[in-house]
Amino acid sequence: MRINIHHWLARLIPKLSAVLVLTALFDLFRREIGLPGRCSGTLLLFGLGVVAGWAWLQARKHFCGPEQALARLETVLGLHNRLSAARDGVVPWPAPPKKIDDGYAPNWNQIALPVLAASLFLWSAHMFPVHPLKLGDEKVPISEPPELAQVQNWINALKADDLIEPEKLEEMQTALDRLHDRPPADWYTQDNLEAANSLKELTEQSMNALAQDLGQADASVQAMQEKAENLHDAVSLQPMQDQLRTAEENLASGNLPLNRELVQQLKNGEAATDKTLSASQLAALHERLKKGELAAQTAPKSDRTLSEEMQKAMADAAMGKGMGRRELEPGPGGLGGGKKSAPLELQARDQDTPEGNLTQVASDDMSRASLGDTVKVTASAHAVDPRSYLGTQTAGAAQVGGNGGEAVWRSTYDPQEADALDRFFK
Amino acid sequence: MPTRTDFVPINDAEMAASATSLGQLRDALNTVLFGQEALIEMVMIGLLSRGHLLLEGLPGLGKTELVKGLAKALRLDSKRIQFTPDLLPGDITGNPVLQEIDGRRSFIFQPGPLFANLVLADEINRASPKTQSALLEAMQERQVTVMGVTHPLPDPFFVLATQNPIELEGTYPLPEAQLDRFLLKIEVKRSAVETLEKIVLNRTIGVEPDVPAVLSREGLIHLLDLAPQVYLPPVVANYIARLVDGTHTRASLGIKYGASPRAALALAAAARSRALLQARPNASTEDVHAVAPPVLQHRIILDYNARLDGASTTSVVEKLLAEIPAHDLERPKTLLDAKIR
Repeated sequence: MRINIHHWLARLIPKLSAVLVLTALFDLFRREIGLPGRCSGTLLLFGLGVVAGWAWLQARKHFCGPEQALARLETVLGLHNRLSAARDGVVPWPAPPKKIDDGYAPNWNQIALPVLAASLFLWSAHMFPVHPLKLGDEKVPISEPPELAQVQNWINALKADDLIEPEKLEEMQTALDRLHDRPPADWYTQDNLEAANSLKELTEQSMNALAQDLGQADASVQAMQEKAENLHDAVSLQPMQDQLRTAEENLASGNLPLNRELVQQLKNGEAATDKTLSASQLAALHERLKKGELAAQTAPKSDRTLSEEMQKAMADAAMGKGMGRRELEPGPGGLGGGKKSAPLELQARDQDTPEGNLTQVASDDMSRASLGDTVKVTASAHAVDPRSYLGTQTAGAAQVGGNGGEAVWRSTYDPQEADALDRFFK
Repeated sequence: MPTRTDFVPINDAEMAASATSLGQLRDALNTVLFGQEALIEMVMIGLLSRGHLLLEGLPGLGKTELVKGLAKALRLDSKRIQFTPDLLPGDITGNPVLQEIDGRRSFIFQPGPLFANLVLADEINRASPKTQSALLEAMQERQVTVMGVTHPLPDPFFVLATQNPIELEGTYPLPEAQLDRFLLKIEVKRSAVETLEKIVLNRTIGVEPDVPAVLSREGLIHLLDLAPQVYLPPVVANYIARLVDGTHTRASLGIKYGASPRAALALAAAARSRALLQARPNASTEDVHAVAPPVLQHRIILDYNARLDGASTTSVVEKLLAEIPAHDLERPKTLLDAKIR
C-alpha cells in the first residue's frame, strides 16, 4: 500500500507542481483583469482533481502485487523467502516480527522540494502587487466630424445676421442635429460621413448663391440710390428695378430664403419711382444688403476663422486621430494615413544622412531577397581548368598480394580493433 | 492462498537428520582443510546437487587433499587421474582386453579409473582434447561406451577436476561448451597467515590427516535425493531467470556470450543445495546470490574490450548481481532504499 501510494505520489508531484505554477500565473492574470478570487481557487481544485486522476492512471501500471510485496518484505527482514514459501503453503508462516519495516525511507527531496517551491511561487504570485487593468474606462474623446462643425458655424453666422427665414434656419439646424445626435462611435461611419459632407456642400452652395444674389441686389439698390439722388427719372431706373426684381425673386425662392422684412424692403425698392423710398431708406437697404452679402460670403471662408479647438479637431481627423484610436497606435496606413512604420529597406540612403557612415547591407541570395533588398546578378562562365585530368585515377595499391596460408600484413584496423589497440598502448 | 499440492516438502525430522549429517561432513572436511570454509561449503553444494566441480588454484593449496578427505568421509570409492598430454581416452574409460576363458577368446572390458564414485581429474587442461572429451562425455551421460557396449558409471558419480591457472604452456584449455558441464567452478584461494600457522602446527609433510567416516553411501544418496525436494519459490525462479537473461542483455558489462539455460538449472540446483545445507525447506534469493559466482563465471565469455579493461568473469558476475535486484519490485522515486539488510 505504501509503495503504491508512493508510485502515485511520484507521478503526482511533478504534475501538482505544474498546476501550482499555472495557478500562480493565472492568479496574476486574474488580478490584473479584475476577475474574482474564487476563479483561482476553482482552477486549483479542478487542476488538483485532474492531475490526481491522471497520476493514478499512470501509477496503476506500476503498482506492486502481494507477491512482490512479500518478496520485498522477506528480503528486508532477512527471511530467506520464507514468506513466499508460506504463501504457497509449503512452510508455515513465520511469527510476525515486532516491527514490520519495508526498508524504504521517504525521499523528502523528491517529495517536498518541488511542492514547496511551487507553493512558494504560488504564494509569491498571490502576494505580488498587481494593478488591475480598467478595461473600457479609458475613454478617448472623439471629436465630431469637421463638416458638422463647419455647418454649425455657418448656421450660427446666419442666425446672428438675421438674414434668413428663421424656419429655414431651424430646418437646417434640425438636419444638423440629427447627424450630431448620433453616437460618437458612429460619427465616422461611411453613411454618416457622406450625409455630413452632403449637408455641408448643400449649405455651401446655398450660401454662395445667397451671397451672389445679395450682391446683385445690393448693386441694384446702390445704382438706384445714385440715380434717385441725381436724375429722378422713372425711365432711367427701370433696368435697375428689373435687376432688383430678379435678385429678389431668386432670394425669395432659394434654398436660403431671405426673411420677410428684407424681402419687403427689396419690393419697396422696386417701386422707388413712386418715391416711396427716400434716399436714406435706400442707403439703409444698401447697408443691410451689404452686410448680408458679407455674412454670406464670410461663412464659406470661415475655415481660417474657426476656433482653435475646431482646427485641432480637423487636424486630428486628418491624422487619423479622434476615431477611437489611441495616439500611440500606428495610423491606418495608405497615403496620408497617419504615422507609418519604418520602410523595409536595406539600401543606403543618399540623403537625409544624419551623421556618420551608413553601411549598405546587401544579399546575394536571390532566394531570400525581399522588397527593398539590393540584389545583383552577374553572368560569367564556369571556372573549369581545361588541363585537369579526367581519366581514371589510382587510389592506393596492395604491396603484398600474399599466397595461400600466408599471414598478410594489414595496415588498417576496423574501429573496434583500433579502439582496443589505442587503449592497450595507453 | 495458492498451495502447491504436487510438491511434498521436507518434513522437520528429515530436515533435522540431514542437518546433522551435513554438519558432521562439514566438520570432517574442516579437519582436512583449515580456513577454507567457503570452499568446503561450495564443494558440499556441488556434491548435493550431483554436480561436477572444477577447482582452479595454485599447486599446494589442498585441492587433492580435499578430494581425498571427501572420499574418506563419505566412504566412497575414489580414483585420481593425473592428466598428461599423452593420456588416451581408453586410459581413463577402460579398454577391452582379449582374454581366453574356457578355451574361448573374447574381449573383456577392463574398467578404467573413471569407474569410481569420486574421480579426481588432476590438471585436466593438460590432457588432449580427445581425452577431455571422453571424460566430459562420461560426466554428462554418467556412462561409458566402449566398442558399442555401454557401461554405466557407479552412483553417485562425481568428478572433481583441477586446473592450474599459471602454467599454460603445453595445455589445452577446456572449450566453453565443455566448461558448461561443470556445475561449479571454484577458485581455491591462498590461506591467511593464521590458517598457515595452524597448518604448520597441526600437519606433517607426507602424512595424510586422519578423516573419520561420517556418512555412508546410502546416507549420501538419501541426502542427494532430498536436495530436489527443497522448495524453490517463484520469486527465486524469477530472480534466476533475470540473472541468466542479464548475461545476454547487459551489454555494458562486456559479455560476448551469456549463460545457457543449463546455467539457470544449475543455479536452481545449487540454491536448493545451499538451502538444504542451511536446514531450510525452501531456497531463497540469498542462496542464488551466494552460488551465482561459481555457477556463472565459467559460463560467460567476455569480449576482448572488457578483457583489455582488466575485467574478469568473476568481477562481471559481481556487477551483474549488483545491478539486478533480488526482486523486480520497482522502487518509486519518492522512496529511498534505506534499510536493506
